[in-house]
Amino acid sequence: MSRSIRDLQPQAVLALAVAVESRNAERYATFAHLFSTYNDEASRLFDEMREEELAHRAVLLRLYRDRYGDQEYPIDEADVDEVVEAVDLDEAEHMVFNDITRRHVFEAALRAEQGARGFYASLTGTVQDPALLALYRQLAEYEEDHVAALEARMSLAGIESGGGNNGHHR
Amino acid sequence: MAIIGEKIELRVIQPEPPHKQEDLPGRVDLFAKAPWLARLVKLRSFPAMLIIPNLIMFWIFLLAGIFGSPVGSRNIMIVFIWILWWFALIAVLVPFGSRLWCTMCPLPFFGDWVQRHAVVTVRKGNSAGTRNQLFGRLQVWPKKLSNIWAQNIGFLCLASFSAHLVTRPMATVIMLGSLIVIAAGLGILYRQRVFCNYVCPVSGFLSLYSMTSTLELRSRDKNVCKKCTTKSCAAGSDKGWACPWIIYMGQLERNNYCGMCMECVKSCPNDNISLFWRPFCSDKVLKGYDEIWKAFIMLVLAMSYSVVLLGPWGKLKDLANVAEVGNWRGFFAYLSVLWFSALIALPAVYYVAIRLGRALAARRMKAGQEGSIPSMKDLFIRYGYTLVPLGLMAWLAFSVPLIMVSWAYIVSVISDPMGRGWNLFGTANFPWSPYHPDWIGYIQIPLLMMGLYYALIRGHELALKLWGDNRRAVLSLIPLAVLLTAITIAFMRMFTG
Repeated sequence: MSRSIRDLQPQAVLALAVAVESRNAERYATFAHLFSTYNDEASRLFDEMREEELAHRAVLLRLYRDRYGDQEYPIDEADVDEVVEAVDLDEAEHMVFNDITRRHVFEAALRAEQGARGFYASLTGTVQDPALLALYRQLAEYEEDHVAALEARMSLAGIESGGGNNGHHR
Repeated sequence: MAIIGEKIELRVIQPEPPHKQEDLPGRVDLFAKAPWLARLVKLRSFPAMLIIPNLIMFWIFLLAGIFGSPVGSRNIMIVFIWILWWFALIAVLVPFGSRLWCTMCPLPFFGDWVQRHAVVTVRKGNSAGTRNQLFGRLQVWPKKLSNIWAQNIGFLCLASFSAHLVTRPMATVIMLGSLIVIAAGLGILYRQRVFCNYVCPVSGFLSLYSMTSTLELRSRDKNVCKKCTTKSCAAGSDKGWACPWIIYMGQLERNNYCGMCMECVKSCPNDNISLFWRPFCSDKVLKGYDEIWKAFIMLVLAMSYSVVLLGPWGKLKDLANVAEVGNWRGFFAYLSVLWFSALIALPAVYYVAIRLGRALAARRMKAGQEGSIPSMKDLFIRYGYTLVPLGLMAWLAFSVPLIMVSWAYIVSVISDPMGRGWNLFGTANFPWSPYHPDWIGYIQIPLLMMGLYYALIRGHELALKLWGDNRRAVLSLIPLAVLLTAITIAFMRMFTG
């Protein structure tokens, strides 16, 4: 990690956004595998989230190809300092207490999407370049759609966002 | 500062915790300061290089327990385990090394071997949600037992027979022998360190008191962990086994369940795990009733051991030592008082103190602010942390006379480990001579004061987080502070007569 996303040009930003979705899909796959012996439902949900991320990646890749054709831009999220969107567990001890639930999975996904939305939105206030500004706005809108879709799915599943105990106690 | 009504209140602003561990107060990255240490723990032969010699010692002790003198003070097993090891654990290993004992503990050796079919090497694979090849049944431990209640009850059971255990080598042989058989059996049936996480009675107490330790194993930068896609610390890799304690280093914020096996140091693809030196009592979050009951049990046991083993009341000692005296009715009365105090009486008094504190602080709330009053469950569990430094220091104060009075046994038993009249190093007849017994009280009082100090300081920090302003935080703590002070005074009176 050596540079800030603020130093990147539009092509690099979009290529990075594609890479971020790919990496997130990998993280979901890892969590699905890790929890496969603990909670089938949580594991399956992690796997569904992986597919969601691959769908997000496909949309962004289409956008990239529309603008830049097949010209690849070698960049990965490890190349920038910031965390754009990285799904993570809220707790180190979920396996110890065997307490992972679909709520934890949904909330992990929501935190990641909200983080990405906030991140892109915050960048819109820092750039002068109209092309970059438009791109950041577009990416923030994409992430806003992901947040809304996830919240709708949580609502369908009867889960209120932010309804957990924030890891204070079991 | 925020203005509420007409009063100006001091509001506590809680910033986001830094993502770099070194940015937390008082942290020193030991692997960065001493790269040889990092190289050492990254060796595949670590920690086997500690466990195997320890296992050999363990077998020697078991043999000494079986074939050596039945007199405790003449048998290396009793002297080394219940005087030297116990003191080293309480006074050095836990406060300064967290769960370093677990790094070298021989008890799970056979269970690990069954699962890994290896002592040193690591095997890549795809077993039981990991990226390693593991053997055995690899079942998941039942969810209902995934807590430390079994350890709580197990420790209480062992403590009930402590007078027998610490004086009779054969009793200790049976206890340790059973633990190694149980550990191996659970290793065959269940995945990873089920024995250590949920069953081992010593592990439960290490789990609680390691929260105070000045050492921690953590990720250097949580953002690096967030970006990691393999989560090799938890899942394993071709470089290291999946965490046998089944924790995820990316979010680790307390020592309780990290057995410091160092597999994550090896498996992390980003070299992002390190040992950190830190201030005393840095972990402050208890998370369940099982954990706070552990704190109740340990505090009551520190008191009961001090009364029975160190106090001047011979009758009490007789009640506890049923094997020698044979007074079963008296023994059951002693057990009833012990278990009732640990499981019901102290928790009940503590509950009343928390309830009173909550009522006192809630009186300062304006109409409409009731929703921000922390729940009783939250307060009961979170404030329980205050019992941790207090309990550790009470145990340390109890252990000081143990080593200062009995240290000479260690010197003599080295030359005659079986109590059979040998004199291997010429120290077998070293005379029993307590080391400055007149100093003991002067050491115990500051230790107890230090425990109370940390209980109150950390309690205040927790209260600030829970209540949001200083006045309510202090009010909520007053009854608990009175209780903690009373307990400390009771210990002081007992130790100093």
